[in-house]
Amino acid sequence: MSKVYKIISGIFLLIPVVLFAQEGTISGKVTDENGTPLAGVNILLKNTNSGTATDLEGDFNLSNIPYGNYTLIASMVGYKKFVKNIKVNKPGLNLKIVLRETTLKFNEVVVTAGKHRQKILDLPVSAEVISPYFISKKNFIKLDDVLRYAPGVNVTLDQVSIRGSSGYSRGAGTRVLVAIDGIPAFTGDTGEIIWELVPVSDLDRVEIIKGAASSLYGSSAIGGVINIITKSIPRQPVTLIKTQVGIYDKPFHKQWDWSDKYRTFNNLTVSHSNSFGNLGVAISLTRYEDMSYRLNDWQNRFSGYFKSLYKFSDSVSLSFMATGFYRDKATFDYWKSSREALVPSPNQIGNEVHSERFLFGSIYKNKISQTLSLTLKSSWYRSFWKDKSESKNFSSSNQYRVELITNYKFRNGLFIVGGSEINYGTVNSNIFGNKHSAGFAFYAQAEYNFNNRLKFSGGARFDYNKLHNLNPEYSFSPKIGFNYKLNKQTVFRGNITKGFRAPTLAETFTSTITSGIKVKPNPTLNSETNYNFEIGINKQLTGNINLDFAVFNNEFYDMIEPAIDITDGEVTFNNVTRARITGAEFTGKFKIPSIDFSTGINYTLLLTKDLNKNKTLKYRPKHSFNIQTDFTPGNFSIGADFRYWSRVEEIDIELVDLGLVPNGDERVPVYVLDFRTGYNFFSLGFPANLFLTVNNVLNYNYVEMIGNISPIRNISLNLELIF
Amino acid sequence: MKNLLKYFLLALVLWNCDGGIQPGMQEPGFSGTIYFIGEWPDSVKRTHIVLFEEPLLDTTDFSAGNLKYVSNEIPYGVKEYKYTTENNSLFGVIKPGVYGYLAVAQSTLETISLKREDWTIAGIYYNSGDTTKPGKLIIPENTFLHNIDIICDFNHPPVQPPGGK
Repeated sequence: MSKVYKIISGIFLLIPVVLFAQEGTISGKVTDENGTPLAGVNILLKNTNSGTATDLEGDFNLSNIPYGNYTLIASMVGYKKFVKNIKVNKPGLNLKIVLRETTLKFNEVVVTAGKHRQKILDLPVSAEVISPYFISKKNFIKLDDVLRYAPGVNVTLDQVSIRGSSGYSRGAGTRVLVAIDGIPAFTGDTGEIIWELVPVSDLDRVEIIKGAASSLYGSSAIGGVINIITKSIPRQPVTLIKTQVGIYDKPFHKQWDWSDKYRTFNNLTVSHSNSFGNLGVAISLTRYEDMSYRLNDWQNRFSGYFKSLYKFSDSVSLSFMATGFYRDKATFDYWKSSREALVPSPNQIGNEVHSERFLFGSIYKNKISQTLSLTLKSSWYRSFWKDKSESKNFSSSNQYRVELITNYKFRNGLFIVGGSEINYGTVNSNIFGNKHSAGFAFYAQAEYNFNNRLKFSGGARFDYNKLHNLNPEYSFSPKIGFNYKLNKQTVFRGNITKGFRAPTLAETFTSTITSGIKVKPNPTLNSETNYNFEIGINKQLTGNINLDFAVFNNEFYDMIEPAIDITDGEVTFNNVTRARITGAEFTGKFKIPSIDFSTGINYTLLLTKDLNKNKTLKYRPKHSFNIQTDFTPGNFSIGADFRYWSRVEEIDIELVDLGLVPNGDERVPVYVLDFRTGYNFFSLGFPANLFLTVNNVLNYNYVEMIGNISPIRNISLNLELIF
Repeated sequence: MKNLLKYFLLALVLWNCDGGIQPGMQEPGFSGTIYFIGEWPDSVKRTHIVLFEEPLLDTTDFSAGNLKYVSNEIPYGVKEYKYTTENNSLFGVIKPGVYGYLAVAQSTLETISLKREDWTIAGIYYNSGDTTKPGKLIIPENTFLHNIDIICDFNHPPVQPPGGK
């Protein structure tokens, strides 16, 4: 009897639970705009005690939520807060939440260009970080186009210059070191940066370190470092299809209209990433086709990118990266004249270059303890190009590098980065000859933190470089710097560094005859050096305003430039110039969260002087000014960017005087206005982003390099599908 | 703030309504055809159109100071070569003025030399068929001359200026 009673009582006790519980479950997934799951996102029901955080797959689950109306908030540092009114009136409610990236608070930005992770406000040097969202929303295809908008950075055609370090030398001998995940990426023959090698669709961020960084990176970092960080591989499968179509408008001046049809460009990228246990894999393929707005300037390119990461444990991992492309491109050296500015001189028509470039790299990381970690990086840069000129010029080069980095953190606030590097390169070319190069280096840098307010850093690097059978060169590059936090809002920084750049094989051994002018080798060419000084202040005002100001001075010695040997009239690379670059840089970032408005303003003053010739340096604008604005209400975004460079004072006037570039001295200040808008369809259940961009809205005609009109007004539509 | 931005952008548009770099005026210069008669000498390594300001009356007239224009190379062995001074300059920019000697010069050297003895004149520009003396070329302001033709007859080479081999 008692057993029957208990069962009946139990049934009656359960009835209210079933009939009156009125509770449901809220579950879902949080991703970024690229569909990558976000872990650690805070999920909260406003005015309740219910809350949780997403797991590694971006999933969350809130259970036992009484039926009713709620306000759900999803938030994470670096992303715009997601707020949505929801109604729980059934047992299971599933949500798909997309967080949009926002400008990070300045003191939250982390950079790794110092060969270990540091907050940007802890650095003794000026630095900048560009987010991938900025690249997507502006429909950029090449990274050098992005860099034109970074404070203190100028790009002349495809040659990048930080704070005036470089002019234009057809890419040879870069004075800015570009690295992909810390692996240097410049060719073994000319030492130039090939921007198409950078997988723009797979970037996490771009870090820019301004000023000489040879004490850590050696040669080529004489003007600064651009470190490109690729995306980490998500734990769940993500597929991205990105397609872009664009069209060039007709030229501003009718007499420049050489084509009877509109010129177009298009780009298609398909990428997929996934994880299988401890192994993560990402692969992407891109096809790019550009008819160009100029005659004999078209290009077709096929690019590929692969990345894998295997985690042996939480502290040991091995990653492998490969990126490369095949490209056929017509050659447009200079315009025919300013009367036919979009047409090359007749002898250039039909000239083409075929190029194949590949960079392979591996990174082994071992966090041996909480204080000690090791990183081993190795890479192989394979480069080949040949042209269709009469002399059938070609160059094939291989550059191999291995670097071991050690980080050690002492308990008393001392942190040490040390490392060693070896490199070897070969070149086979009808212009540069069959040559090889070799080098090794050791470096160490110490940082000492006093009471979390004052930080001193100092270090040095020793480099040995040998080009073929020439005498070896030695370089010693020290640096000292400080970072002082006056209070939570104000940070001072300063540093003095020595930089150097070893001559490339191309600068030393080029031997060719072009149009009867002989270019001869110069085996006596030495490294160029500089001493860089900088002091800066960063001020955070009211949380939504950040101001940064820096002054700097750069003393260059033995700058390498091509020059005519007056004894025989032949051209050779020489250590010809003693130069000084002094300047100031101001950056302001402002946000008005209540109306989803943000803007960034920067201004750079460059006072350059060739002290031998008492002239300004070529292709350096004295004033550069950028303003970027963004208005992002809800899923909609709209923005405009404006860029101003003052008219460059000095150019390659010899080319004009010799008649090689008719009207080549025609140049104007640069005023470029771009417009962009976009819409995010994720919250509507469709996994897509759509961006519309109008570049050079004013259809303003300007040159960065003489005889080369920059892209005229063009409109492009970019659709990203992520699933 | 929005109004400020609006006025700023409007000011920019007005400021830039000239479109930046403008198409230039007609550059002075000339064009024509070079006719080659007979077999090219085997020893010729390079052939150019050369323009001197003053006539070549003395060995010192063949100098860098008097030489105002050198065309790009004319391919070896051609029978006819149409040229224009636009975008065809190895050296020099054509300016308005009076020029005393226009010719086709050939050298047996791979590289360019400014020594008189390294060059042979294969053909000279004459005025109105007067082959007794080199013609003058008069280029007015903003004018591009056409039909400035030269005949190079390898069987009957022209009178060589002083200083040759």
